[in-house]
Amino acid sequence: MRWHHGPVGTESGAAVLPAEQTEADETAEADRPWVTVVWNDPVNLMTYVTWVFCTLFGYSRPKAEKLMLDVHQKGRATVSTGARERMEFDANRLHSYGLWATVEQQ
Amino acid sequence: MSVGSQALFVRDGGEVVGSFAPEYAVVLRQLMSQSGELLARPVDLDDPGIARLFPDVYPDSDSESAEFRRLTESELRTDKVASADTVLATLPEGGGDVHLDDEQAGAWLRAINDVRLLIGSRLDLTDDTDIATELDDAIMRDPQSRHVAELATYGYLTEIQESLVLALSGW
Repeated sequence: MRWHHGPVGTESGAAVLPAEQTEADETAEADRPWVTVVWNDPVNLMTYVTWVFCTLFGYSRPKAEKLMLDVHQKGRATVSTGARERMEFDANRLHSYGLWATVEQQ
Repeated sequence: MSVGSQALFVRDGGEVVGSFAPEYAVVLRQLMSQSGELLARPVDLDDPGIARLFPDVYPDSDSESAEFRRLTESELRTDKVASADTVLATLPEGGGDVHLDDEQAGAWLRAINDVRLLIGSRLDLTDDTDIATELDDAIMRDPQSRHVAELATYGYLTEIQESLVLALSGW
């Protein structure tokens, strides 16, 4: 999986680095936030998607509309950021509303 | 079936209220019964509509997606069936007025959207698809076709959903 593997050079270079440096790198890897992504589809209505973002995340209407337009025009938008388990929870809730949501690490 | 203003919702205090002609209530109830039966079964990802309702949460990992699905699918299916049941419980069999609190209206929106996704997966839609134009073309080719029925139903559900989300949100 993409987020389990750093660039090839990272692993081979890790052995020659001081231990503290390696730990720092691992911490940086672990600290990279997870995100919930919503993808465009031709069925979901723009008003409905906006309403779902307001309802599930408590976003203001302007913020929800901006995210909805990002989904519509760019094909995808990051709608929430945080711990992996929380992103999975958000994706599950979005699925219950019929939105096409996935989870990835930034 | 025309895509007219057959079932527009309005807000009335703490409720949203809509009115359904008997023939439309019959159609909507049939759709909800069918959808509820389909969703009560274990997920069959070979069905494009079902696959769309239960998408892979990790597109790059089948195993992680399967594990997530193992943990969440049952409850997600239960929620979706419950939403369809809410429509059946609040829409009179003979048509007439429908009174929904905000929670029930949310269930209606989810249930209608699920059916739109199921039908939409068979319609080869894009962002630019105009359902009215598609429907006119399909009627010209064969007014009795299944495609005409699906497009008309899809258009009708779209109208209900749009009306309901606007009434519920106050936009």
